[in-house]
Amino acid sequence: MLWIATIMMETARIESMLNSFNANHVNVHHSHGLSVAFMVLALCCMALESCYRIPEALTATDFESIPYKCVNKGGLKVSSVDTFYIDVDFDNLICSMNGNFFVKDDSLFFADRNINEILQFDSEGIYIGNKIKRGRGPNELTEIEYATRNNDGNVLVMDGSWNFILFDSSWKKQNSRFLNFNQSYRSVKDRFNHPDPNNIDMYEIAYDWSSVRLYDNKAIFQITAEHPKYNGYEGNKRKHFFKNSYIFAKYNLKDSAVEMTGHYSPLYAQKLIPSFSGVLFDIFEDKLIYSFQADSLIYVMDMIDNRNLYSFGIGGKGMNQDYESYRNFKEAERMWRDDDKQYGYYNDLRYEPETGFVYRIYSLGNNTTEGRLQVYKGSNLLGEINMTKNSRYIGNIKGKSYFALPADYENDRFTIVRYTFN
Amino acid sequence: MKKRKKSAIIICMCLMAVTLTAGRLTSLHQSVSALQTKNVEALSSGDDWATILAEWATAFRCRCHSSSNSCLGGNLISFRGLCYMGEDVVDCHDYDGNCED
Repeated sequence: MLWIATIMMETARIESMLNSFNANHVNVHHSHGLSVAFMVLALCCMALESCYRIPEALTATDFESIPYKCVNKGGLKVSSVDTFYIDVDFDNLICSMNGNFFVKDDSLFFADRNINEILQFDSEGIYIGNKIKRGRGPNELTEIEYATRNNDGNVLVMDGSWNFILFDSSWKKQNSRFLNFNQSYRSVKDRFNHPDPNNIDMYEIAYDWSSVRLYDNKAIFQITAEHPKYNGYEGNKRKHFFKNSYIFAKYNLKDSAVEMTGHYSPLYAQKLIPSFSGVLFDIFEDKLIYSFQADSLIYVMDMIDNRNLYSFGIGGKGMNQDYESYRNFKEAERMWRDDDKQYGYYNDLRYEPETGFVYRIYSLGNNTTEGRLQVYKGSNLLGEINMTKNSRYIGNIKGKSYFALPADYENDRFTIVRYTFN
Repeated sequence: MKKRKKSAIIICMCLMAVTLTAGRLTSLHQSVSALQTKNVEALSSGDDWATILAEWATAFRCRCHSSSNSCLGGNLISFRGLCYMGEDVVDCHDYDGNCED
């Protein structure tokens, strides 16, 4: 549109110049004719500009045909529960408390986002030392956003600059890959004017909901787009965006190939709630389970052909899900923190291979810190227990399932709760 | 004669309009490229990570995310990325372009 306006303005300017210059040669009738001609030209340009139709996704998901199989079976039994704390004293243990926990070799590890180191604790929370330190040495990192491990004990670190760093089970750095989203090398203008959900150059890592998993040498993570002409926040393509944009990237750490897959559930095109469009996911045997912050269903996707096999999941009780849809990005950004308190949403979905349980944690909203943990076995809900909002599953050590409550910045300590479920 | 003159003026003006438009586009593209080049040079100097950073700099711009105070990578073609580039294709008053603001 800017170009059209430019054409019209420049045309008018040139026309007026020519008019004054050729006042004796070109009569008023000619000038009027030229105006019409250029108006037509401008309209043609406008039409051409607006002719661009954003393509649909090459691989669509027919959510309606995904079979649902889930029973509220009940019978969850908590055999044991206990709580311990990890105090951050800043003398022996320096930790920003901003990051994520994971379990490896019966130890707890904390990937610290601010000091960019990975800290090791024993199963009782006693600080052992730092496994990965900050720096540019062979086994050091400059940046950490999220860290995870796979079933073989390999550790994958995702940083905040589109790098993925793989360590083997003995913490030796294997490789480091940078994912360049501009793989098509289209010009900036082309990328701006012709958004395409099938082109990875439109996307970026969804750092708002940082998470990554490692499966078969592939880093799997959520992607999103804030393209000014194609996004979930504003404009008349929001429904198109939520129907067609991809939600996952699978990045092969060996050959750098990248594959996009998965789509937002139909709820998002219906409610237009980008602030709650975080995707929760985990490796579920040889499949991928995924769910959304605002959707009660959990989907199971085949890892090889990306087919959605079935869905399960029962909605949380007492969640305030009357989400507000905002008119634009600015408004949504401004309201983000208030919405986080006011509305309930799902915040963690994890599979525990040791027990076969699937855990999902949700918050109720209404400005409370109340939340609950759902425990599924197979695709059936066994039961729910109370759990503080925004708690996260850490892992299993010797039969006990570890969960981290939100960091207590006031008292400088982590609260870890361990359960044994039957 | 009059007809030929009129046609000549129309063709001439069409060419001018196209040239001006192309000029505007080229100028935008050049300003973007100049910023990218500047960024690559600034990041590459005496650094072992030069190759990665050079590639990095042409691909995305660092900007703040709402849920974090950290500066994280975002796509150049995004609300905040374009503001960070100083382009006026979106209303930059509306978007927090980078962590320094």
